[in-house]
Amino acid sequence: MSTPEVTLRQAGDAFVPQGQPVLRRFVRDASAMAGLSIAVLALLAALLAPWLATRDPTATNFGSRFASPSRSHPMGTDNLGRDEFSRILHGARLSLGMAVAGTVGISVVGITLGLVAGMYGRLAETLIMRVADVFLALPTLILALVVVGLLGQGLRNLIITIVLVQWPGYARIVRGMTLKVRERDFVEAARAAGTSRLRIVARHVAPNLVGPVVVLSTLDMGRVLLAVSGLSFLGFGISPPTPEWGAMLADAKIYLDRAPQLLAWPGLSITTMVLAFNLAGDGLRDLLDPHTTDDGPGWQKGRRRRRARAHLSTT
Amino acid sequence: MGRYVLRRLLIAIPTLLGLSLLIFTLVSNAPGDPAEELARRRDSRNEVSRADIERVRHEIGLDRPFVTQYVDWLGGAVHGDLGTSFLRSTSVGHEIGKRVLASAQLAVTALAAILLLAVPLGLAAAMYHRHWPDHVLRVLSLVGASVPGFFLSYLLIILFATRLGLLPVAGREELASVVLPAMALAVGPTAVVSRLLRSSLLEVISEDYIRTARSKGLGWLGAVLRHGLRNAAVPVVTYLGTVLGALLEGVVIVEVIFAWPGLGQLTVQSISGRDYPMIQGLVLFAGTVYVVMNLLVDLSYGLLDPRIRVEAARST
Repeated sequence: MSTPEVTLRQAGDAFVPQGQPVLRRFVRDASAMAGLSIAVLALLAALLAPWLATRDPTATNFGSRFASPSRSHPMGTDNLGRDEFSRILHGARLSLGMAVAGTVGISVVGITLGLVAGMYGRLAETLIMRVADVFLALPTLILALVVVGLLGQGLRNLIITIVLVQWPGYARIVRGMTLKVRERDFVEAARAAGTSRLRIVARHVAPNLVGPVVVLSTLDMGRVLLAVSGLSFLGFGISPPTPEWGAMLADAKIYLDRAPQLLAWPGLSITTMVLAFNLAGDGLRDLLDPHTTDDGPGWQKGRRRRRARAHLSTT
Repeated sequence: MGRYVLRRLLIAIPTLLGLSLLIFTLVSNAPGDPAEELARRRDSRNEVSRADIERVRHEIGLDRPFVTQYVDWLGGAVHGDLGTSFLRSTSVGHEIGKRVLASAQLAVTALAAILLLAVPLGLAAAMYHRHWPDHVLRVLSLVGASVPGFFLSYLLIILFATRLGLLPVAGREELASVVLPAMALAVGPTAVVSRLLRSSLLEVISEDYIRTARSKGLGWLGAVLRHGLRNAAVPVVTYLGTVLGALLEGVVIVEVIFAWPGLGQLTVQSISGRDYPMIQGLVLFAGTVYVVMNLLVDLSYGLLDPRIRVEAARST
């Protein structure tokens, strides 16, 4: 939900690694830990799906269509008698895999272009940022719909589309942070010492951007998952019979009255994962910026802020 | 003020040009041959010769160089002529005009619902800070912000239409038809906006002017409503741009699910049917709407906080 701009408004100020206490604070943050645990477990389940799944996710069995949950089918079966549990597990591979791949792709492209725009002067900056403006002139999902519709269906095209429509947000933020870091004393010192520009970028600027970008991409993982499954739902993603959560939901809508549980399994899977990514991302953001004044879609900020304020007033 | 608006609109022109060029490039490199598809669509026997295809290609102008096509299209667009739809053989502008009202009705209803729900919820959460209403609302907004619109739509259909039989699920015949799709659109933004308002209110109520108002005998709610809400609204309004973007996106999926005859449905149909002139027109239209919406949001800060207005005027 949140715009990257809102999320990391202050991130450029400083990312100061604070060692142990930071980690301890994150571990104590119950909702962040819950989010992280769910995300890690689900990613593990997705990786191990071929071994965890009890059935072949595409094997049909017309003898047992719309079966209720039982020991042999923990989530029942779908309209073709396929094992829903195995389909959800294998669907996690695709849905989460695309969310992760998409987010990594966006980060790589966004960081690279943002750094180039921030470090390499006028022409590159103008060019990159004007192109970014063009991509930001439409809400991302609409642009994604048009792009994937024109590129054609398929896993690869879906990931290309996600990266293509989402990089400008990252490039903008990374450029903003680069401009700030560039003015810091240690960069000045490195420059005075005759360090090459490439080395300054790699050794002094880029490492300072890692933290904020990790937060941003964790928070975005949920958004990317929503985008990917939304496009699949509309029929622009993975073609059947391959299980993917958005496409499974689209398949199930015809059987709304007869078997609403077939909508519920993929729907709940997506919701749970988006929730987990949001919680983990909010927790990470708190670590980077304990004095957040902007609650954003965060859920815990009030407590921290007051604690921070109490701390300030006693010192 | 006027100069600021003018400058923003002028900046938007090259951006929209870039957007149309991007889509035009994508279209001309898309797999498949639109001339062939159109020829097949016209000929029900499905036997089209090479000559037929070339005739159609010439007719719709696809045999001309890319630059000529783009410049011609652009020239038309400037005069309000966005070309003719491949699928419907009506003009693109006419079709968009016919449907814009339906989408606007849906989006405005959703926006009204967001504000009507989020303000009291945010107030309640701040008022009962760290008591049970606050905790319940925290959980609800957490879930509300994470549930995908297409899943939520079906949950609403199952609950209000299938089980309770209260509301219509498809089309736009009755006035009540707007309720379910608007709800599906409103839940996510409501969750985030009420949360933002809560934290913003918590910030504001520790201000001196609220304490002054309280000490003059005003109750908590009175003081907050009279003096706090307007100040607390500024960060919420900054988020409104994102909400409007989310509504534009949400409209696409929700219109498809609820068979709402608006622009979102038209967009999906045009993309599936490779109706290139229609896609071009819709993208240009949506881009323009988005740019204007963001401009209006930026201008509204000034209405809430005159200090921002002064800065905007100075910066131009």
